[in-house]
Amino acid sequence: MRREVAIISYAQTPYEADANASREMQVLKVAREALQAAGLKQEDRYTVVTANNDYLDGRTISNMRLVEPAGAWMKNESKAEMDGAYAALYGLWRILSGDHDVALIIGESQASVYARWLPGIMMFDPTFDRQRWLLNEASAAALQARAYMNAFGISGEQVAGVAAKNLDNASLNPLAHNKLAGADAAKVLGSRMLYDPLTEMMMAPYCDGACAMVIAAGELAEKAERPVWIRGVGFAHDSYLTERTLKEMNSLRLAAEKAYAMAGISDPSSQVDLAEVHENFAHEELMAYEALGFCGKGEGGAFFDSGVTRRDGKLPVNVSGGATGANVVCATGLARIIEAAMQIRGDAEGRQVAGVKTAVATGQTGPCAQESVVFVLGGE
Amino acid sequence: MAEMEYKKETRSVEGSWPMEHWSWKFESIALISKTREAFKEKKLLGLKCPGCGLVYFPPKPYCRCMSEPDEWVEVKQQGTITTYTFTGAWAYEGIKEEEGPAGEPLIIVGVNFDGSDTLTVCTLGEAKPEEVFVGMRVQLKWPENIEGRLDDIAHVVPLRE
Ligand SMILES: [Zn+2]
Repeated sequence: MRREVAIISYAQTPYEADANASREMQVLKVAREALQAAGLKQEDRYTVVTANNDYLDGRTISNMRLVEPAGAWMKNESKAEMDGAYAALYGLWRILSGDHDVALIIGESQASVYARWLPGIMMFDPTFDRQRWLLNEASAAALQARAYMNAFGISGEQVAGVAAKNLDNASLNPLAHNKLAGADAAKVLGSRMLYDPLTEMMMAPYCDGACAMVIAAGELAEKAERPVWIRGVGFAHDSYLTERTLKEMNSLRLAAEKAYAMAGISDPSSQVDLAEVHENFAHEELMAYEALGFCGKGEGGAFFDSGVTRRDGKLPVNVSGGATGANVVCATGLARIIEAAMQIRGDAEGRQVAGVKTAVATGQTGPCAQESVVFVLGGE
Repeated sequence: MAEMEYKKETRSVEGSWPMEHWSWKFESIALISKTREAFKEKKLLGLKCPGCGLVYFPPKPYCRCMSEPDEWVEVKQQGTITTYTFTGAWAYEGIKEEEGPAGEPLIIVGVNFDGSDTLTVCTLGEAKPEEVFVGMRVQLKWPENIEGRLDDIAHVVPLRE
């Protein structure tokens, strides 16, 4: 990379189904905490990128009222209307340009204030699909799950196992809200059928929350305690869901290849110590194993069965509980980056995995994970 | 501190924001009109891309290769199911249970009609969920009265040869 850029601080609200706080106060808390932890004050020089969404916020220009809580007063702030992982990407670019040394990245939304199923319908093609009223994010994900499971012989137990793992992992994460200690595949399979083959517990329910992260280059990064270096990034977009294969995540594969090349990773399954992936539905984590090169094409189910991705495995995935534990639209991918950084720094408390030196985090948006961002992070 | 006044609505203004529908613009109008006229003749028309040869059905006037698909080609009314799902006993928020046949799961299928390269999302009739499979051959089932509506091609049934 043109400059060495590090994550030097972060903050997350607890994630809740219905937070007793406005979005502005949630953002204020995480922005202030992240700046303080980085040794920065509002009057210091930094740039701000937020991730939020007009539609979910119920107003246009939804970052307009976030200027003050986001610490952006009299600074250059702009927003990414996708996932916070994109906000992190844009902040990184500002630093790589040489114009800035420090960027504050924020992701937030509050699912409790909007009809949470509605945006999942509005994203589809308006000419044909939206008028049919057949596609929503859950039915689309089910079509993706079926295409993947059918192509590679992935079982419902394997998909349910991923959800159970993440629900159990979330029970160790005090910030997560969707958790179940000791969850097992039978319990997940026995929950209400959503769209076959996906049951209710295989979906990562939307919730309220905010997270923030400070990234820096130069003096601040060099002087930082335990900086987490951004070793590689990649991102890619695929086409609309009816015009591409649903059995593979090609945008994630391409993004990972770019990020690995930048980070000097040639054998991800042995060089990556831990991953945090953005799985809106449990089967997507299995597909991500393949796209991230942790296992071969079609081997996601067997790879999961080997136990490698459990929190005591060789390559733990979603030790935080992942999106299953807490899914905040516009923040979920950024939270993955933060959780991965926490593991490298040794800040993860009860969910800390020993010896994490290199970690991967992903952010995905769009129906059936159309767009993907991959970050590769490393310690000293 | 003064008691906060809560209102269910912050302010009401007259007007509409057509989120459920769409303001159709030139290409969409031309494309839908052509498609619907073809339905009246029991024909499916797709658009072929001059740049990469991809045939879009439903038709679409822009391609990922950045060319403009402009050649109307007839697409077959038989196709293959490439993926499917069916609704459970519980309805996902916003999608009402009543919208499926009473007591029967609604089977949603992605159909690749022969001669096209994309999926059409349809419902499958005359089959039970346990009878559906990826690779299943299906055919379009036209309604009794074809009015040139997008819903004319909403349903497929197992192919009887
Ligand atoms: Zn083309």
